[in-house]
Formats: sequence, C-alpha cells, structure tokens
Amino acid sequence: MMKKALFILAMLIFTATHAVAADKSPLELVSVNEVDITVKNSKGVDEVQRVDAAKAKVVPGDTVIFTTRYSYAGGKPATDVVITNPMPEHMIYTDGTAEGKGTRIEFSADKGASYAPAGKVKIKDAKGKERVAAAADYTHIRWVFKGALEKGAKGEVFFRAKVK
Amino acid sequence: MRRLILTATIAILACLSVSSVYAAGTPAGTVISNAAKATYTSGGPTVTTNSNTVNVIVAEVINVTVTWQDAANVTVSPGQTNAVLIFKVTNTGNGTEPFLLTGNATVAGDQFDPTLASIYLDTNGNGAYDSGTDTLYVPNVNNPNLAADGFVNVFVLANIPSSGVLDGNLGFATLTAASKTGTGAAGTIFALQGDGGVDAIIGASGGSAIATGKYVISSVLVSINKAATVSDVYGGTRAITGSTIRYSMTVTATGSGTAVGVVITDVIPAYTAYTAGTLKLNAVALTDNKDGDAGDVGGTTAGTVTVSLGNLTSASAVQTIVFNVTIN
Repeated sequence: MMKKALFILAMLIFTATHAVAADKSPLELVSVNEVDITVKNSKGVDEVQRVDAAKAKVVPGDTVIFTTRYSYAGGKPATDVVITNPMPEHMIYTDGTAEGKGTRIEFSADKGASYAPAGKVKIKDAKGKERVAAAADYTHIRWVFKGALEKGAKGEVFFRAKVK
Repeated sequence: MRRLILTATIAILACLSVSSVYAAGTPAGTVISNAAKATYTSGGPTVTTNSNTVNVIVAEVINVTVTWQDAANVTVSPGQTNAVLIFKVTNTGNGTEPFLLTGNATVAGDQFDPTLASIYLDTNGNGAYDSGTDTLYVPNVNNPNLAADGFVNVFVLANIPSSGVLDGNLGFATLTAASKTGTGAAGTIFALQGDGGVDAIIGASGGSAIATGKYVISSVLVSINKAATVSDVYGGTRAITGSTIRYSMTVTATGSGTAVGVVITDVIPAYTAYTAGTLKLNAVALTDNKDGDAGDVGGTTAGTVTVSLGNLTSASAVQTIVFNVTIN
C-alpha cells in the first residue's frame, strides 16, 4: 500500500518535471511593454526616455510599444518560425509601426483566422459587405520569418498601439 | 467628382461618431494584458512557445469640461432676481470624479456685475431650472460625483442690479468645476488616488474648467417731451389773463423691452384752469370724465390730467397728448 502511494507520488513528480522541461522551449520569447515619455534632462532640455509601461502612468490616448524579444538555443535550425501577437484588448494598432528584421509582417482582422499584409486585410461589415480593414480593425499581428533561425540567433519584433 | 467628395465626408463623419461614443476612453483600472506566441519546427512536429504575459494597468486621467448652454445671451430686466444661466459639467476623464463647483459674477469685460445668488443642480435632468425641484448646490456637501463621460446640468442664479444698467448692457457670470482629487499642470500625479486605487493623473484640462455665461439687459426708456403754445385774446402770444396755453406732450419709448401700462399724469398748473373738452390723444378727443376712454381730467386725481397709454415698445408710434388751459 505504502509502496503504491510512493510510486504514484514519483509519477506525479516526474510528470511535473517533464512539463517544466517541455515548457522550456529552445525558442525563448520575452514580451516587453514600454512607453516613451518626455522628461527634462539635467540641462533642462526635453529628452525622450523609454520606460516600462507597467511602471509608467498609461492613460487613454497613450502609445505603448509592444516588443517581443526572441532567442534560439536549439541544436537544429528552427524553420517556419512565426511570432504572433494578438492585439491586446483596449488597444488600437498604430498603422505602419510593426517592424521585425527578416520577417514578413501580416495582419488579421478576424481573430487570427486569416492574415494579409497591411492594407490588404479584408473585413466584412454587419451586412456582410467586404471592405479593407483599417488599423483599428486588426485583431492580430504576426511576423513570418523568411529564413531559418540558427542556434544563438537573437532579435526582436515590435509594434505600437494606442490605448482607446 | 462632387459625389466622391461627399462620400469621403460621410466616411469621416462616420469615423468621428464612432470614436465619440466613448470619449473618455478605456476606464481607469483596466488591465491591458499582452503576450506573444511563436510556432516553429526543427526537424519534428510544430512547436508552440509562449512569452511571458505583461499587464499594464490604465491609470485614471482627470479631465473636465464646462460649457455654457444657453443659446443666446439671457435677457434680464434691471432688478430681476434669480436670473438663470445654464451650464453643463462633463467628466471627460476615464474614472469617477467628484467636482467642486464655484460661481463668480464679478467678471472682467462686461458692463455690469450681477450678484451671485445660488447654484442649483439639475435633479430631474431636463436641462431647465425647476424651482422647488432642482437641488441647491452646497460646496463639498453635494459635489456632483460624475462617472467617466457623465455630466450634470448646473444652474447659476444671479440678481441683476436695479440701477446703473442700460438697455443692451452685458453682465457675465462664470462657473468653474474643479476635480476634488486635485488640479494642476497636465501630468501632475496623485499617487493611488484614482478609481480602484490606481494612480490619478491630471489631463490636458488641468483638472479644472470654466465657462462664462452672459446676461443682457433689456430695458425700455419712456421719454416725454412737453411743449406749450400761448395765444392771447388779442391774437398775440402774450401770457396774460385770459390767454390760452396749449400743452402738447409727445411720449416715446426707446430700448428693447416693453413698458407695461404706461400712465401719463400732468398737474394743471397753478393760476390756470383746464379748458373743458380739449383733451386729445393722437388727435382723437377724449371725454373729461373718468369713463371708458384712455383719459380724464380731475377724475382719477383732482386737478390732474391722466392718460393711460397701455404697453409701449420702441416699435410703438409716438403718442401725442394735447389739452388747453386758460390763465386766470
């Protein structure tokens, strides 16, 4: 009886450890949300500083810079790499601000079901009539990497959006 | 081409109306949550990996507008009490705020100073002052507590001076609404004082707004011009015993208001006697007795000519009253 209990416990520990190991992907993503604030420097001249959005006082109308930093540590090259960032609730994408070296940037206005380059995303209105989606309609942004990521590859993709 | 431009205008209007639905923006205390994910392959099945989640809490921005609501200058008469100016105070911030209201009737740039009487809050929300229904505002006792995008109509009641004001004179009164959390330069932070304990930040309004309402005096001035023509019994113009004096009074109203129930009285001068049957108004004879017509001599007041002219405005014709007396 005691042995059986210990065995189950061991299994549980194993499962738990295994889960952590699986989560530790060789492609690591770090999300950073920042805002640019203007402060006066020691010479009294306005200077733009980029600070952590969580510590800044973000209010409606403010622009937040959403950055995803990636680093790849896998043995084999990573191919078909796609980083996706759903547009956070209460935010409106600022047109033309998404960037990412070596990627093709696409947008979705239907919660990620379909993607197209900026200006070519289609959306259907309440009457089913199709039109070109505006930046405010975007629900997701994705960066499709053109090439493979080798071991040790690092970089970042980012976009800006405004608090509604 | 014209149709194209029209379509474009409609499109812009549509955009504006959408954005104005929620002018104050994302409510204070809202958590904006962001996380990215990646998919890739490396010689096996597709792998999905997630980033950390970053939460940003929206701070409270304090903003307010005050607008004067009357469509035109509020017409008042000299000595009028509790003349009403209508203002609207709107919370344009993204959190709930109490606002302190202050009225001021001593404002530069006008021609007279009203006296501030009281401030009322539009209890029934109909946008018009209802005496006995709307609530008297008492500073810091019933400050309006406005939700984001919420508004209240505020009535400023003032008394108009009874003298020293002329038709067309303007008198100003202002209403100021100031956030109770605080006011100051845009960007001033009141730590942890926003909705739900988030930080509050002063917005572009400075946390305070003011609007000016205007009264305009509407008064009518009634002026009387009296002329006397003497004719003696010898065909001359000497004022001697037996001479007749013909009095002619012209009554004119000027200004923008209405003179209600104008009554002209003129005492028969000493050492003269009224010549019976000579009273005329606008060339029409009036009986001497106090009866159905507009005038009498001695009937209303002994020894006095009394003529009622009714209501006069600047549009009324000049009224001419004529009567004769003889020198005793």
